[in-house]
Amino acid sequence: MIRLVLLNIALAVGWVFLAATFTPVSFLAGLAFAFAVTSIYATATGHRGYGYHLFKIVRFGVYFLSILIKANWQIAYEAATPKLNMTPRIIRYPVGHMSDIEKTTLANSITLTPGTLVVDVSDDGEYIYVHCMYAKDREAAVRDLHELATNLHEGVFS
Amino acid sequence: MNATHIHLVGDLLAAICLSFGLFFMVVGVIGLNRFPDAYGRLHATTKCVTLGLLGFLLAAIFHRLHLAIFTKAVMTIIFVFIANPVGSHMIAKAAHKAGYKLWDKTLSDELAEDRESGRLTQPPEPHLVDEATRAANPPAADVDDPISMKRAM
Repeated sequence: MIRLVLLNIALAVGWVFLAATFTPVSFLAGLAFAFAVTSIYATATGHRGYGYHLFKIVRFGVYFLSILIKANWQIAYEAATPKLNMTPRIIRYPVGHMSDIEKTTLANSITLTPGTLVVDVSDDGEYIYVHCMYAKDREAAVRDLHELATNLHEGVFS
Repeated sequence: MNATHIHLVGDLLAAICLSFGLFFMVVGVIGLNRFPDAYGRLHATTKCVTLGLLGFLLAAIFHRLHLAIFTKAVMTIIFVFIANPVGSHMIAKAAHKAGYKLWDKTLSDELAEDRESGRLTQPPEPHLVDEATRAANPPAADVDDPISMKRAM
């Protein structure tokens, strides 16, 4: 499915090269036409529901942006108020069932989401070690990570 | 709506994005100075610099509604969103391996537990320890050896 998305973008770039006007609007028009072509191609090659899949990717993007802003707001609050009320912890989180690219994407998104930072990966790739800022309750911190992992899996890798 | 109006709206959006990005950059720098340990500082810098740069690049897009700038800004956003977490991950990993102390109020460190119990089989990397001692007392620059010259600088 991710290949179809790349095809969509490549077709849009081709459209911009062939169009007479070089503006963002022509790129958006190219994306729209490329989407039409790609969904026909997806149906013809037996990949159902390309539009819904694209919608899920965009939804994950919006969700990711919202938690990125939330993370920054948390840092801003912590930096502006005089007391440091953090309860940091390094916890392990199992990622054994994921593919390599999914692990990488998950680790990158964990680093950019509120209060979490990936420190290390175990040699066998079974666990990642996450530094959590607010982890008074270990189970709650793991649940937050799990929510992000589920959203990423549903949105991009399914 | 003619071209002047579009540029007015674009400039307005650019100003909003620029102040948005600048706010988070400033917050990130304050956090870098205030947070107690290496990991806390990485929290501040990674998140805030990523979002701040996103604001700056969006401002660049809105300020000059031009495809050349649009594509460059979008590509920079994509690269920064990949490179910034990876960089901070490597710094955190190196800090933990070199044995930087966690903050006093840290509740638990399962990575150190696993390393001690032998669940992680990674051997300690000697060059990191060497680097720390070398920083403490730098060697005299050897003219024949370009690598040690680079280190001395």
